[in-house]
Amino acid sequence: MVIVLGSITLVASAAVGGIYLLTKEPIEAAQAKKINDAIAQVMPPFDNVPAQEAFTKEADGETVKIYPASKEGEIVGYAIETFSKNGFGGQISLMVGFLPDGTIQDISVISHNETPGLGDKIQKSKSDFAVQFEGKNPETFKLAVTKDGGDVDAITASTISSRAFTDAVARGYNILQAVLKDSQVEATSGATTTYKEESQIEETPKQTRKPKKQEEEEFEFDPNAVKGALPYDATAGATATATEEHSNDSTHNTRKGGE
Amino acid sequence: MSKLQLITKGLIKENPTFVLMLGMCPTLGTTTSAINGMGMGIATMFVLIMSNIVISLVKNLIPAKVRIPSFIVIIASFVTVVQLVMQAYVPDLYNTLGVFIPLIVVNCIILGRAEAFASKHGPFASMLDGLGIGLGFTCSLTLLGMVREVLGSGSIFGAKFLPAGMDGILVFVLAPGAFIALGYLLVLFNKFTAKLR
Repeated sequence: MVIVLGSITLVASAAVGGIYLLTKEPIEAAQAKKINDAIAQVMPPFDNVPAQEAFTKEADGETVKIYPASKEGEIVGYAIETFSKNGFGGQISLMVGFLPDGTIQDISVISHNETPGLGDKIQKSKSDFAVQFEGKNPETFKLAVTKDGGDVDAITASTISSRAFTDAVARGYNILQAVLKDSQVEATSGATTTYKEESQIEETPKQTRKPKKQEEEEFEFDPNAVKGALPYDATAGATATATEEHSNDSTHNTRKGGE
Repeated sequence: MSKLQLITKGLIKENPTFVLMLGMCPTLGTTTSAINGMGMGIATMFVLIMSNIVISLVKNLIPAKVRIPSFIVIIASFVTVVQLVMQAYVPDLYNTLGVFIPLIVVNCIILGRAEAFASKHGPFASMLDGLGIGLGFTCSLTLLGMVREVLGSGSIFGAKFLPAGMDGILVFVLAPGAFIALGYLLVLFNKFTAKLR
């Protein structure tokens, strides 16, 4: 009796293990595809692989992934995989695409458990609710439903879902602010490091400045632009460039910080 | 009972949803749309056929005392297989069906057929039985899902037929609507199949 049950369990677990190994790759591919599709949807055209350059940040006790998208070496936006736990059916996960100046490019719903026919209208395929966020900058567009004194028109009869969605976008925006702040700090410190390297030792060929003649001809970022105390808004574009310029060390630093 | 009857009985005479009234939890929970109902039905049918075959093959090896645990282990393995395969190849459907996929393990239909049929018949007859009951379950779930989708969201298999700006009768997509729709379908089913049975 024990032997029979034992051998049945053994065979069954071996079979399940085998199937697990077989489906492991397709499952990972399917999940990666979902993320990549979401990134592609919410970002302006880019030519890098954001998933490879992704880094993480802590937000409200959860780890949030940030995917920087760049074109021809210049950051064109950040796709942030944000969430809210206040959905009607639990957690809502969104991919929010921000341009470097904080403007919302597009939003894609990754997963949700909202009521079909009501809360699931947060999906673009179901209603135009998410469209109202596009092209808005949360600096001027208050991220709260109108009932709570904000600028977001909630879905009829789905205030909770709308609130959660808005909450997730707001969380994404806060993360973006933190990312931009970090990259600005890092860009500045990175620039300083570069100067030191220039004057002292030539370590990595990547970070060494080129001779001045070439520098003038090539389109390259001038670290002084960031060092100069321009107002935040004006440097937003420059900051993005700075981030890209030093993407190597800034990515490393952030990863270290994340771990 | 002829081979054909084994298949057709699951559709009407022993329809798991409308006659045996088994597996009501996934029936009510997943049928928010025709596609979801169909997906759930097919997943259950696969598990039912496979577990019926395996159980009828090993039925003489299993002592009566550990019969139920053995059946559950076999069923659970197939459910895990279905779960992994769905996650890999139809991730969207997998996300929609959510917790109901692992719950196929405790679906009464499957254990019921294992106990009542597969443990007494050969593998081929058991396979046909699983196919018949599985088809019956799939059809019932698709039908219920279709009714709820048409009334609740104004669409059929995801294709909306109501003009933009118009919504269906929302309650049919929600849990209470599942009971209402199932109740009326039961009435109609019994009215029209009374003679056949």
